[in-house]
Amino acid sequence: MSAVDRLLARRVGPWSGRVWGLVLNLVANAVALWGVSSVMRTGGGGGWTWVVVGCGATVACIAVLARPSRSDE
Amino acid sequence: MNYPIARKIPRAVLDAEADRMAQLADAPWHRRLGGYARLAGPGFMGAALTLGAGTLTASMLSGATFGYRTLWLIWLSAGLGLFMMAAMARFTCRGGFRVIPTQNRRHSWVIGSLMTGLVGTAAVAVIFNFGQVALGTHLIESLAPFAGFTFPAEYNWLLYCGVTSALILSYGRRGGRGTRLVEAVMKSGIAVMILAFGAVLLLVGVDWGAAARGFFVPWLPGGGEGLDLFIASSAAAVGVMDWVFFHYAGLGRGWGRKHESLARFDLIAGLFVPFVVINFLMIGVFAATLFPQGVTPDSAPELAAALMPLLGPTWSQILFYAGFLAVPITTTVGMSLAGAMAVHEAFGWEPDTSSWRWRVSALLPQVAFLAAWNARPVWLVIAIAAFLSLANNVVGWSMYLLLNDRELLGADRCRSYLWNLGILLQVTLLNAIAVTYVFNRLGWW
Repeated sequence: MSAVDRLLARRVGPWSGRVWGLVLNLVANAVALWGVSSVMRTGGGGGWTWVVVGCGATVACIAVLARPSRSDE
Repeated sequence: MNYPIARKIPRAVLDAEADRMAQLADAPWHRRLGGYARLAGPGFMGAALTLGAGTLTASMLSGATFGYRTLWLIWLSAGLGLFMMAAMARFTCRGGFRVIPTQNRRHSWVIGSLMTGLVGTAAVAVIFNFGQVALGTHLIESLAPFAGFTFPAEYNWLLYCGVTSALILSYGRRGGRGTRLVEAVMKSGIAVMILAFGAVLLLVGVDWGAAARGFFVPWLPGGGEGLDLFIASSAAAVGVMDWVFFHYAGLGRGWGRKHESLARFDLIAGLFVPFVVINFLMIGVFAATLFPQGVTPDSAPELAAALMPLLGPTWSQILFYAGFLAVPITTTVGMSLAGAMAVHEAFGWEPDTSSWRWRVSALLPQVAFLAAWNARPVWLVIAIAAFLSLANNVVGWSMYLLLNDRELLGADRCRSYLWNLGILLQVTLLNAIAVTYVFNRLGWW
């Protein structure tokens, strides 16, 4: 079982790593959209930082969560 | 076979279908496609359900406002939806479990019975049926003068509700023949839409160059409007009700392990292709007629009325109205069945299509006959829309988790990175709908 598989399968508190990943993805989506709304309201500035951070975190979450559990352990 | 509606199908019929599936597995591809087309059904029913007043009004508006430029969103939205629908096919064919009780067991009744069953499917069936009845009765009223008489919505709702109720109550009856009858009507409804809108599009003409550009080259209006359009269109084409309905309609047909390739064929040929073709035709008709004139009415009846003078001959107007009438009829039938299935699952009732409980649940959305008098429970629409915006993504999370659940599906769980990726992209878009809804309420969007 790889480290990512272990991370996704491990139970932390009430939920597994996969559920925490989904929650993190939602937070990342919100950050990106907050950035977009800032850019729309202020015409740029600090909003772009939120967009980049949010989109980067979203891509990272999706890339990890898309990994199926291949191990039968 | 753990779904009671399938138990009503005689064993001999199920065995004959299983034999046919086994023969088709080794048949040449063209024979296999023909055989699958005859055996398919839930996918076509899903398309007929999805292609309702709301979806087609959005297409009409899109064609009238943006011309052909948003055609690409159709195949993107339907294509993204296929990943989740394939998960539902997996639950039906290989999982063999009923998804709502399984969600209750694995993720809590709030996500299963409440969010997926009662709100995401049953309440949506009732609320959205108001739009179908309003459109259907308006179309009957508009068609009647062509036959030389008047038939106002205040009276013709009896015809609309009578025909749709008869179809709804046929489902699951007479040893599976009722189910096949409903499927045949849904398939015919889709065929009527394609023929009618296709003929009208040929009549008004197509700018093939602009249509090809719109279909393959992504374009969005600038600013927040573009982002809103992208998020709403790409995530909302296939939603919770479609997921639930396809799953339970497959169980109702007695689908098992051997049927997964049929289910996938059904998703592409029955759901994806009709969805793309019919929306393409509708956008095309309005892009060729109202868009050049800059006319953008904001409701389906107004859009249809604005189109009529541009269609010319009487027969083409009748054809358009007749094709359009198939839209609300098939959606009312599909949504009512989905609602009845969801209510039974949410409360843990065994679905018996000959029981009063089933009949009442299935006919509950017909309360929308009030739409014939322009009545609409606005407060309920707002409440349901809010709940759906905030809950659809969580139901999507639940489906993704079930598909990756080793304890539940064992070796049949998702083993494909691409499949998970497609589901996660749709889930992310559903998240975006929830977030923008909250931002909107807070005045940040």
